[in-house]
Amino acid sequence: MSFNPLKERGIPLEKQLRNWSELNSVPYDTRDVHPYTRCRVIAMNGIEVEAVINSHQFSRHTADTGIKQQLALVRRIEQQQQKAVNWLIPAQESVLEVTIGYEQVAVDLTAWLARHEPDPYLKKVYEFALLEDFDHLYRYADLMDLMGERRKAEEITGDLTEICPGRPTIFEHRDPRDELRRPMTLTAADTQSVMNAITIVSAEQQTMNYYMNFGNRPEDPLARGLYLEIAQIEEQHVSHYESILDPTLSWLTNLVLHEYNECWLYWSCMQTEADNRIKALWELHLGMEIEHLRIACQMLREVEGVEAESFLPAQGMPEPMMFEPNKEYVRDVISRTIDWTSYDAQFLPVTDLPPDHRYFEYQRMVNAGGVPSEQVIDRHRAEFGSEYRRETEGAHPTETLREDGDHDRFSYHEIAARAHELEEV
Amino acid sequence: MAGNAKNTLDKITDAIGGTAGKVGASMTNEAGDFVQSAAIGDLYEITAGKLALKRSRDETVRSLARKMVDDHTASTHHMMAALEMNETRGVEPPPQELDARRQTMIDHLEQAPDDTFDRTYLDQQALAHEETVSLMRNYSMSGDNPQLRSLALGTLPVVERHLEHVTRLRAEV
Repeated sequence: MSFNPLKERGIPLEKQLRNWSELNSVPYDTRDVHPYTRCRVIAMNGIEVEAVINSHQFSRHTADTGIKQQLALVRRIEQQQQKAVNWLIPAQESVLEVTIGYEQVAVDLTAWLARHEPDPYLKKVYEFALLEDFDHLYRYADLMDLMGERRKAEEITGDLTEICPGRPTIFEHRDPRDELRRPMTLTAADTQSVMNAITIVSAEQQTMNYYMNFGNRPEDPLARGLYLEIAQIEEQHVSHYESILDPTLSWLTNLVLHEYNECWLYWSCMQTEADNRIKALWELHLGMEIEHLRIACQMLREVEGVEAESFLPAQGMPEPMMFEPNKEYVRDVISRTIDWTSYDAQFLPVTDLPPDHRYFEYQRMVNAGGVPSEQVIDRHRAEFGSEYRRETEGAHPTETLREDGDHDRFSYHEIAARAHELEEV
Repeated sequence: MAGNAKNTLDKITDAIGGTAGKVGASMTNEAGDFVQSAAIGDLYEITAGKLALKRSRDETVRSLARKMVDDHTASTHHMMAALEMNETRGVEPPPQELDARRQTMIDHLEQAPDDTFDRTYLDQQALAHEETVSLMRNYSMSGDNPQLRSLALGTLPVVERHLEHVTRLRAEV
């Protein structure tokens, strides 16, 4: 099953504008929505936000009034699409419940992309951040329990995603220079790699924006602290993922790739959506995006004399991106790479860092005075006698990260303690 | 041979080697040659920088040396990451040791008398960076591998700034 949006006919732009009531989508019912329908809504909202921001940035970097007009026309529609998608989220879902949804997206989207990434280095890039988002889900789930929310995290995730420690958030804080990876090149990379990267940058950027804006909504200082701490990791993740994009592309080439990516993802949503009402929205938006892609390709041809077919695959995209359980895969990544860190563009076990590496100084600075992501688990243990975990496939693959494990023997704890001792000498 | 005469001869040897290196760098278009040349350049910079941090007492020179160690460690890591990608499949891994020419430069640096160490280090830095700028500029325009061309394109402005920095310091020290 493949899909080539360049060969499809879309909805003419002049027929795409909707009125306010058409945009004010009836939200899904939070009691019976499929967890992966929520995931698709959250992910596609992030995709539309990126479409809008990218178009604005392009407009600010071109003097061509013709291009500016075309960008403005298409952007108004992208904005409408964003409203229609994001307004599917119901008011009954609290900031924290939606947060659990965001982290489920981060886990199962990243895992799918990692599994389908043809490049071995880029696969490492996905697996590296996957374990960090996986850990965020666990910290927020414990917070949710502590905050006396009406529901448990597993009611949001539907137990399709496990909830337990990944690479502990406390150890994810690294020097900013160690978030910069090797970019791929459009000329030599597989189109799947290009689509994967645009997708994940959009999703992580939306997560970063969500925490930046909603992280101050809780009253409890611990909750506010946890949001700001994880928001800083999302900043790291946006830096990490955006650095794999080819930085040498023209604005128009980049626009074509964005539109192509939107087509692929709406088509993917259509293939997998169980809710017929929402499936119809994906189908409508796909029809719109096919036209946006045609317009972008036309601008590229007229301005740069480049045919989009010259860098897009003749057979289209081979398969849809799917939200689906990745439990065994995540466990495998934990087993292989839980103790990894990064040094510039490379990944390595944290125990291989030189003892005077900038990582330890950064850790010392930001973690001084208490770490919310640790405090939330400590408080859960203190109030409930145990942690909130959903380990549906058995004991945690890393013995020292089990609830009754010897946490001090986890490699990161050991190396951090050693660095602390050296500092005192 | 008297210390001054040896030092002068060493500088002449370095300069001849540097000029030959620069000519070679300006003609490097093949991936394997590029990787070898860029990796040895990084290795030389890191070794020389660590030596300068041990021996120089001039804070401006020490600051340059620290920057060279940091930046060329970063470019080594980027090279290693690039070589993990499908885009560079089949390209030989980089050497782990200096070649004879760069080892000779390090030997000369180690043997330089204390009172001329900074000058020797800066003179070598100018030669080495002229060569690296030439390598990166040429490969970014006409190299045969897209990923390594991208690497050269990203490294070029960094080493151009290094060369400007060295040129400024040579006029001051």
